[in-house]
Amino acid sequence: MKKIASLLLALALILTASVVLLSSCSSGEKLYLFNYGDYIDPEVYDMFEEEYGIKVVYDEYAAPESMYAKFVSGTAEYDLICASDYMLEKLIFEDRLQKINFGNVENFKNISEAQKNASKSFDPNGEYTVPHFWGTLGILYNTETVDAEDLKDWSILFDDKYAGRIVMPDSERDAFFVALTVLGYDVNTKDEAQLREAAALLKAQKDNVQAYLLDETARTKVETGNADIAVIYNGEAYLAFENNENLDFIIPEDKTYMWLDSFAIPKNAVHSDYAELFLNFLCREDIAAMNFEYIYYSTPNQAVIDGLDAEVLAEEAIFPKPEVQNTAAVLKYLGAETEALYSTLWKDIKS
Amino acid sequence: MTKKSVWLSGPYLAWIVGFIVLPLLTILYYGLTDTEGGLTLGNVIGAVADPLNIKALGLTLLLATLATVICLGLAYPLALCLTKLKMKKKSFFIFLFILPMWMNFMLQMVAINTILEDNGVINAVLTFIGLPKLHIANTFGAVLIGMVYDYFPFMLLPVYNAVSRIDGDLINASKDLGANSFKTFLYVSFPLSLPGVISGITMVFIPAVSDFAIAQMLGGGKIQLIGNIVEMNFTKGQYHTGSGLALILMAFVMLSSLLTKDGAENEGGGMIVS
Repeated sequence: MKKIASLLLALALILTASVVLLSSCSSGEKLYLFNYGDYIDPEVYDMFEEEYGIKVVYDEYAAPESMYAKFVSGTAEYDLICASDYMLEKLIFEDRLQKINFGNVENFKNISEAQKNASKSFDPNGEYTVPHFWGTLGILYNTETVDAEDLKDWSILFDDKYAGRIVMPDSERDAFFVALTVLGYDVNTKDEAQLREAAALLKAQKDNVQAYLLDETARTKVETGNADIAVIYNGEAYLAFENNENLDFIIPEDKTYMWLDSFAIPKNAVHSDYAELFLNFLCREDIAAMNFEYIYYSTPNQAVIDGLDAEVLAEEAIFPKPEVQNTAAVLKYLGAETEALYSTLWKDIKS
Repeated sequence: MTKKSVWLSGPYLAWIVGFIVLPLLTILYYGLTDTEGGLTLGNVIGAVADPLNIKALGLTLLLATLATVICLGLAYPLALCLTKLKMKKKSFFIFLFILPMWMNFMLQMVAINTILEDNGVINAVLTFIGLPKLHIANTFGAVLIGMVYDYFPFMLLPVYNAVSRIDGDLINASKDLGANSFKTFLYVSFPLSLPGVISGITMVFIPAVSDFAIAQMLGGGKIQLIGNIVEMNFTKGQYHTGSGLALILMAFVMLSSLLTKDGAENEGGGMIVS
């Protein structure tokens, strides 16, 4: 009797195991995506699966440099990645991406001409990338404790007036952008002396900086009144307004850089066809609108923009005014040597 | 060892090979080779030669030492108190001190940050009673508090175990022979509790030396420990440099565990009570 019982038990185990295995196989069709954290409305994945029967499996990252390290190490293979301009330039330069068949991405027509042009700075022939969101770097501040007049100039960040109340970005390129702008140098400089000068400025500033943070952690500091000034991306600032009405966003002297995050298909993608299908889906007006309402960064989708209220369009924290757009710099890939110098200098600043 | 017992340890052996031995060998490989795969000591030497690493190492050792000393200073008297309690109360209090370990680590750190911040709980209390605000958030002090909070149970448990096992008759004998409480503590109870103290020190000091998460979450990106540099190297794909530095860190950890192991054997363990 006992023997039969254990035999049955074993059978049951095998049966459940095979059911589990089978079910995971039958759901088969999968698209592997590597993206910044929380950069697509999760509901979009469900809708895509419902319409096309393809499940989107996604990994998320915070800093472009760590994305690159994981991508290059090959520990995971992706069909689609989302990355920032200078990182895409590097990937194109290293021949790690494949050309997109735009015949399969019909909705690409919804992308605005302005952003298609902006893409040319890193993807000169517009062959490799599809824009997702774009934005600028500026200052989120508390209007009750900070005099807006002071923020006319980026150099206030290096002044003692708001010592201990400043949050700087925990990202090399962003921090150096601020220092290089104050010094009047090209933000894409490869000149070692200029970069060292910028690093010295940032190092001297460290005592006045309360913390080096990114995105929502930086925003929360200002929302809760634990800091008064944060150098932050525009969309993040807009989200902060919803939690604290005494906040505002400013781009000092209208000097900023414009970043553009875009999707690209890696050369070793298994399912570039799924990737193109998903890209087409993302560019569709209703889906792009969903993502826009989820993220609140500047959307490159003209069809979505055309459908927006004048009130939203006038919000400078979402859509920077034309003067800013026309003069904004673009961060370029600087090459391995300058990247290494950046790392060393940044380590020194944080030490 | 019988054949059967080897079999029983099989699952753990597989675990140890897959998740401890192989990763260690990988670090050793990366640490001792360059990007072309050639054998080199450059990563290790470069790691020691970089003054920024030395500075970070100094800061790390200082922090870990302070955290260990504070944990011991808090845990020892507490352990003495706990042993004097009745059994029922005892288990309740121990449960209370272990309770924070049930909470998610990230949550603990976010909570501590909220308590320490300029507009946080501590400063709200200080302002309420008319005292000036303290600036602790995102400083060395904040990281120290986080470490003490996180590692305290690892000091308390071994110390309490050692203290509670001391035979009351030995204490009575010492008093009968004319020693006062202080002398009894110094010559009888303290030496007997040493094995627990030493294992507590090991359990706090070693993880504190290699920590990077607490510094990252409570230091506001301004406190750069050796663990943070290793992490930075790895997330940027500089595996060789990072591994070289990791090897040095490992040397320190091994050194400190060897030192404390010797101490445990000589001064307490085998001498009086098993």
